[in-house]
Amino acid sequence: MVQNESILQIENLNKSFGPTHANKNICFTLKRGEVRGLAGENGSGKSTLLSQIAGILCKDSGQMQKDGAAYDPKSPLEANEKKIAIVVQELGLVNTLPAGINIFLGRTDQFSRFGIVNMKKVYQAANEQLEKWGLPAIPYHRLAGEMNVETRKMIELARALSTDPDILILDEVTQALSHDNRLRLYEIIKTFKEQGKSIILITHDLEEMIEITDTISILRDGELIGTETSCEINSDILKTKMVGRKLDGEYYRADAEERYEDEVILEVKNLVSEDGLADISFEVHKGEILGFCGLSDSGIHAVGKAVYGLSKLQTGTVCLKQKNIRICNQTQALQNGMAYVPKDRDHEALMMAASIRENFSMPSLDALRGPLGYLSTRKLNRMAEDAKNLFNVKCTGIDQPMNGLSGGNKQKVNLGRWLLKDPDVLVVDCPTRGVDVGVKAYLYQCLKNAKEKGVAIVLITDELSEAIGMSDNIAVMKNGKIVKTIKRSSHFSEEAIIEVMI
Amino acid sequence: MNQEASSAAATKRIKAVIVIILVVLAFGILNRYVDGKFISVSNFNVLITGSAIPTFVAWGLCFIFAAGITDFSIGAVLILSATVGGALGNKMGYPGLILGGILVGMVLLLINFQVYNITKIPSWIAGLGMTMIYEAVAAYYAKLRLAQGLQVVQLDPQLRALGHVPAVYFLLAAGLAVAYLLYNRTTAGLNVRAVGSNGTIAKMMGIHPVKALIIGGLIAGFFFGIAGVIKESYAGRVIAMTGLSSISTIFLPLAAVLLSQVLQKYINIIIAIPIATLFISSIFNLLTLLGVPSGTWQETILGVIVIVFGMIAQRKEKGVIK
Amino acid sequence: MINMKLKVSNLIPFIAFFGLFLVFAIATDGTVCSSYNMKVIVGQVIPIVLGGLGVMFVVSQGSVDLSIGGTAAVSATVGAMIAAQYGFAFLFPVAVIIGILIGVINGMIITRFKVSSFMTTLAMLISLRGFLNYLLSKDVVFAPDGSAFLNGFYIQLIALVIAIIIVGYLFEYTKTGRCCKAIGENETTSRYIGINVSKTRVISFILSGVMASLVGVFQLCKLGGSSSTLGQFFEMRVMMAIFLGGVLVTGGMSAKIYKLIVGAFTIVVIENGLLISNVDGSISEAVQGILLMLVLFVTLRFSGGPIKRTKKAAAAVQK
Repeated sequence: MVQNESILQIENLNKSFGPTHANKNICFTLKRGEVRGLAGENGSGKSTLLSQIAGILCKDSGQMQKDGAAYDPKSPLEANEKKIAIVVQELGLVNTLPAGINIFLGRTDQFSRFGIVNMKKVYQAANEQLEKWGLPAIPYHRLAGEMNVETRKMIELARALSTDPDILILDEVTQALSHDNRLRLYEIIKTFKEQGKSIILITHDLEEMIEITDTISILRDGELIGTETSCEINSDILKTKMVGRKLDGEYYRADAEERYEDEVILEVKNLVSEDGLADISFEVHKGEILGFCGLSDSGIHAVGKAVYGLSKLQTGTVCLKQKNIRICNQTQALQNGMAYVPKDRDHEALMMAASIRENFSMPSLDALRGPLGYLSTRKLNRMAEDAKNLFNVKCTGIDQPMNGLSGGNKQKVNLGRWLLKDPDVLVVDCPTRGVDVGVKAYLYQCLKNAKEKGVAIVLITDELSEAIGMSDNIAVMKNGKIVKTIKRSSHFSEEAIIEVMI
Repeated sequence: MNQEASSAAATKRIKAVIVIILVVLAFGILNRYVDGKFISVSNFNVLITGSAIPTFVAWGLCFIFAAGITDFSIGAVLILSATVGGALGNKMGYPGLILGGILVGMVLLLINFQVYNITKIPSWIAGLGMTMIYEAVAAYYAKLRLAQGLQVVQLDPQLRALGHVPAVYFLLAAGLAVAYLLYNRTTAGLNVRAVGSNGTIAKMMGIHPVKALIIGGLIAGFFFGIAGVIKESYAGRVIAMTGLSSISTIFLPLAAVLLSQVLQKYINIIIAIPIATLFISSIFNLLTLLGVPSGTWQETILGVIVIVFGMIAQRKEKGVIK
Repeated sequence: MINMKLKVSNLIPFIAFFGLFLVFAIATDGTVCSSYNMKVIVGQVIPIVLGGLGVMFVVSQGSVDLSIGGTAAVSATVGAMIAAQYGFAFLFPVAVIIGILIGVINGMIITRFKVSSFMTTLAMLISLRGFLNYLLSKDVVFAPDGSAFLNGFYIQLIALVIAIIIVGYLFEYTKTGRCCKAIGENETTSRYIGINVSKTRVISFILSGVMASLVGVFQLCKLGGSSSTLGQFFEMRVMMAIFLGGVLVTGGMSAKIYKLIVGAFTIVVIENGLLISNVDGSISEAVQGILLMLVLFVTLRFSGGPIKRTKKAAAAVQK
């Protein structure tokens, strides 16, 4: 097998989404039989790069070459023909069709005679793929929509493998898999290597990445800043390179002690919910930032929803101690000085097609109401104008629709509209996701100011450095439970958190 | 986990059997109230003949819904295809009747789908516009005929076999086979369903969305065309309807499709459709036998059936529903 | 700059209306513009706008209410039946209560059982039509004594103006209206902000039912009694008017009362103009269909424009 021969070459690749420059002048070479990892923070452009290689997105400028020939896929199908296949991060199956059909959808003609698709042949071919790669059997006749996340991932994997790719791209596949299937995936990766085929993968588990890859490329803010050999690197070095800066006091909090008043603002007791919380209890004091850390399926995001009264609770209570009120639904939460900034800014938090004014004013309508419930346009305009200036939102005016703003400015509106209300409790879920460094610092400053004002803050985050930098206390979650609570004064360390998290 | 799944499937099946027994029992008891007029060969023939048209329409609707489109103009399409089928049938016999009807159905649906694609007006609203146009064409034609001193197209009595026993049985059987194969076993059917279910993913998998949808429209048009032919054969002539009143003709098939979507968990939706139509027709038939005139409580019950089955179909739904 | 462009897209429905009006004015040698005909046009616009005021709350959420034709007919018929027995005073209260009832049922089925509003209200329409026929099969229903004055043009106009002021205020300047529009923009967001989506939705269907019942009473008095065609296809006309006025089917902040009024005028002028131009009845229906789709197409085409433009402007600001 010829190693060292390059199979894919990328030169000066650029991709922008509106004002966001997601990939800047990426140069990238992949060799035959190489297993390459991509590391970088959220929003660093990893998925964008892979999507362009796999033909899901079209590049803005730059060249790609596969096997020495120019390669510019317009669709994933074209990429498949050039023997590149991808398993994407979000689930990509047609729920209303049987699993077996999903594997060959768009290519069913090869199984048909006189226009009739021979299902037996389709299922047989699908089974052959599974057997060939040592994957467990899948009930092919059942609808894809009825299956759990893991099986669906396996179907997608089988779909990608069935195109017999030279380069297989795996975008955060392992986190959906159980231990057994992970091991099977590692076997597949090994087989690929032996056959001189290549793999590019993204995983949030850095230890795993170092373990299974040959080399790791690091992306930061859309730029490829270097490629390391996996066996010469450890996760600490990798992390520093990913973040690219020392975590200093300017950015996060400078103090090293927890510091808040004794008064308990929010008391949460014995929460059990359908979306995965198993007995959660905690208290948040006046002026405290309580960080929540954990893997994405550990239930940290469910905590935010439950506290704001959005989930159906099986047992447990959420109480505002000061007011002696039990929060049962979101309307109560809104009316009693709580605020919630959800994780998915574009789909859960903001009205993208509506103007900045509407987005700023929506949570404060009760306060803006005059007699007879009158909402005067002038008042709304003034309020939005003030808020825009206060939070320094870069826009053409308060009438501009939200979808014209950059991620950072959207987030300023998203967080700002709640801070304006001087809430007692602020629940923020990944507040700096997909936001550039400058805005990040600004948002942290906002949180710090809120803390000084005495707001009780619940900070849910998948970035450990953020939790460490900002929290008074950190609650580490695993499988829907809080497994450990760490105080700021005990000197947070990522190792200590990760140890209990996984 | 597998055991769990199989036991869940078992309880599902038991539930289904119980429901079927209850339905049969209820029909049996009601049958005694109407002096056994309900369960009889002649009444069964009436039932089957009566439910043939809605069954074919429901099969067509199945493909349209699979493509993610709601089209109100189907009622008007039926009238046009029946009229053209009748006119051509009188000239050329059965080939003219069948081909004429089917061709009109397919062409009109092709036009509809192109209009929805190009204008991007939501299909159910654009469908209203198309309904007005098709109704007007049918009405204008009828008016021309009357002005010439002729009757509205009246199909030659010798050509009416397709709307009656035993031909309807054959038509239904053939329709079932064709619909089943098209929906479940052809690239065209699978692609339409994929695009309707999740357009972006389907596109990623290499399916041409517009092409797939238009083929779906053609298939649906084929079934509507046959329904039109049966309609013409059944009554001998169709009366043009105006002022959007043709819309009400698709309520029954619509109810049947909804009911089938509930049954879908147990049997394939294409097979469920004739069962559903027969079930609804039976209820109407019973009500008529019980002395409830059509157009009053029967309609009310039809509405209630649609809502109840809608509720059952959506039981586990959690997403955003507009 | 952007504001001006936004306004251009909002002007399309107006331009369409005046364009059509002009064409018909020329085609009929000005008969369309005669004061008598203007009165006829306004008279036909009144029920559409009156019913549309309620439906706007539903449409702004991105839902639809197709049951209003049935609601109007059934509530007015039952109201008239009861008024015939117990006196004119019962006409409005009974009709409105039935309107509320139907609204509650619609709203509850949609929010509780997650059935789409399209299916629910369509089925409700079928049911109500059947029920209406049943009521009429038993008895002939006349407009109650003393209701003749409701048929007057000016009293209807005054009723409309009052309704526009009250309901328009509720829609444009209160939290309820804003919440409806927010739900249309993004239902998840609205819920996450703290809006009680289910309650808002039920309220909107109640308002829709109430306004429909008022229209039903006026229509019944106009006809002098109930018939099986009372309020038939009223729902389709109202929906057409709303969308012709430039309200997006997805609802949201684009929903404005003035758009409903413009749309109602457009639809009536098309019908009225074709009638006066002596276009053959069946051809007229086809022309109506074509014109409606044409206006919708143009409106949609231009309403998509400003967003793209502002995106570019935003990129310019960033640099």
